[in-house]
Amino acid sequence: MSGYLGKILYVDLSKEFISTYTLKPETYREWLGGSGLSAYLMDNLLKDKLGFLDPFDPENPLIFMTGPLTGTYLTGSSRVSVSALSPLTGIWGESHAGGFLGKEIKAAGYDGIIVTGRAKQPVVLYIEEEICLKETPELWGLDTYETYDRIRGNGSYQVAAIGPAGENQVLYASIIHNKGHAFGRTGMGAVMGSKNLKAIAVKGEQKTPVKDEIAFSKLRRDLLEKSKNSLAIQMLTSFGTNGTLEIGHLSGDVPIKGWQEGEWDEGVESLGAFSYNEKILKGNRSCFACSVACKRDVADPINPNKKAPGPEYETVAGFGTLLFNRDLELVASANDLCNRLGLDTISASSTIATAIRMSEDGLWDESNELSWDNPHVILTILEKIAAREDIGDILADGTSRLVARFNARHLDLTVKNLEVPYHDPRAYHGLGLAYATGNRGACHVSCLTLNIELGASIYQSIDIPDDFQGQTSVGKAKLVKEAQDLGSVFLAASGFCQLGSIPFDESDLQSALAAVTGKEYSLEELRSIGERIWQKKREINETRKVDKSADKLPDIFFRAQENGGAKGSTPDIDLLLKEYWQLRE
Amino acid sequence: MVFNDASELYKCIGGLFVKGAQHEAMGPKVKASNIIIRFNYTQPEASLTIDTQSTPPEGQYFNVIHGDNDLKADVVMSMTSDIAHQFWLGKVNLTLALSRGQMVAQGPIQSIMRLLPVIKPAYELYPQHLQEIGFDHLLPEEN
Ligand code: SF4
Repeated sequence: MSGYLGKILYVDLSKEFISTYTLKPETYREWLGGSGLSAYLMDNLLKDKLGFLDPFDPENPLIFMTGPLTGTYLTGSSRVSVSALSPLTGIWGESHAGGFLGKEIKAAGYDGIIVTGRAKQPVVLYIEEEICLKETPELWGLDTYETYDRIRGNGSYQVAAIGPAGENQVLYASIIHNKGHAFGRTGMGAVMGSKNLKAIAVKGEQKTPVKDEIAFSKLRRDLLEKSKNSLAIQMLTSFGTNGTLEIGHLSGDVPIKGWQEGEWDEGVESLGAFSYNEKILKGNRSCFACSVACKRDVADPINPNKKAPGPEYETVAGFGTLLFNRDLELVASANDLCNRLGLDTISASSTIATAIRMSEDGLWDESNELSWDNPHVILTILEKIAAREDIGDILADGTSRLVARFNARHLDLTVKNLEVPYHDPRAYHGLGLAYATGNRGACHVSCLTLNIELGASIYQSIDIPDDFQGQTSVGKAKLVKEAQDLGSVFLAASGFCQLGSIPFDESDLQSALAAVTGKEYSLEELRSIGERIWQKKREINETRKVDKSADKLPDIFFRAQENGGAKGSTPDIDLLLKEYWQLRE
Repeated sequence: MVFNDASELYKCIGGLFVKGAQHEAMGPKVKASNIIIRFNYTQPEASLTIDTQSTPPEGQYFNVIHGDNDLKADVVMSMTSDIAHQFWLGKVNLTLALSRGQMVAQGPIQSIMRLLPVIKPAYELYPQHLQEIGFDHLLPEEN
């Protein structure tokens, strides 16, 4: 079965039981891989318990899953997903990262890893020729970078670890792969912490089987050429994802001062692409076999003679513009701290922004140390969140629980309890609908809507009118549904990276799947796989009593900005949802 | 076609660039980029060059040259005149226009990105400029 290894590793930490799971070829065909296959597996593993299982129950399966393209040498195909019931949202949770982990899981002979149960002592799961669980109480309490340094040996292991935030079950704790590749969203690190699983270390030597090497080599060259000629990719290589800050600011896409302001020229200039390159950049890095190298290295805030992973757009927006902080070095320090502690930078910065707004409105006295004028306190607060100390203990539960606790629901910045990422639905109304209907909550990466509305990607099967505008709700429901279905295959299941695949379209995906798996996928079939995946995640949520009544946007997005690129614009969510559900049902 | 001939385009878009060259916020930023940008238009055919390297006329931070010239441009932007007009009115999604080939940008991405800070103030200047020169019939109704 080319493209796949045909085995999934199954580890029960409670019983110290290790085995492999095999799936029928039809199952791979129906769910493709990544979080699509994980949704199918979760449903099958939990069955009747799916509706009520606590995400911190040992039975909640933590599923790492690659796609058929992961680990091949196609540019931009390094992705691996992690899924579980989310402690932050209570529903389907998933998070994705690139790096080298996915390639290594396949090199070790597996398409994915299912971890269930809870170890008696903190353990590391070693996956190589032999699979073993090693008790490692000495690693508990270490940050993710120290953990990686202790485990990686001579560099041959690829590592996914949690930091203190995951150990203390901060609801938005992340899992960090090596240094700086974050499975950030939906609290997968907290699930890992609840299992007493400090890290997974993988190494192997198998090659992902490719069916048609000749077609694959030609495709590889063609995609590299396409990538090289794409302005968006050139921008990512030169400036990383933060290259979008200025252009996003033009269209009113960037969150400023808790989403309350529409423009901030000085801030965007201080935090933007050229400032980043001039002030803090030390080099580029890449994920496995990717020619884009959009990852940035900056001076290590702890040891400035060394390099450390630098902040990406979401983090610059979160700890920069959102918190009204124009100090780029401080943003880099906050990013470094979040990576080390194992905190999702989006949820952490959004929760802090909400606390500041509550403090401004006199709703929470204890949060007075937080203000728009005092950004340096961010670092102390992040430490407190990870340790669940003082107000950090309250902030560790995320925005929606914070606003519920202080009766300030009007300040909520979440959809289904997941903090909104840093693209403004007032600038892109389709994205607002994608957030509202997202199966993991507000999400900008599980569907193709953002790439389409930004204008970066064009797909043959998704119609974009000649006079396309981001700031209209008319006609967007169809676009979002199609972008979700296709995105569920393209991004969540195949192994392609959302950024690296910007210049690729459906025919490239079809050619890649044909060369790698040896199987032809019609466009119709790809769309129906995507729809199946989307529906399965939705069904999981509905089983957990979260249905379409939860498809909402935070209040702030219905207040039009008075200035900036999205001035006067608000999404017509009633129209969008009405049309969307007519198409879905 | 929005512009009947090249001279109308020079009045409207060329005039906007001159206003930009005189603008206290925008002018120094463009000047600091130290690049030469050529805009090639079709329907009607026209060409405008922003030259930040030679000495500008008094009151301007950079030169705006109408028509062909021998300067070696760092960045060349090509588009129809209608797209250019819509763009300066803030009605064109830049990234989408580039992806669709409605605009073609040639040159190093670092230089192309240098143009971004210029766009926002120019959006504000263009409708004002059209009004001032008696071309307000080219403004969309809401303006
Ligand atoms: S585009 Fe960037 S994030 Fe995606 S695979 Fe390449 S280097 Fe990694």
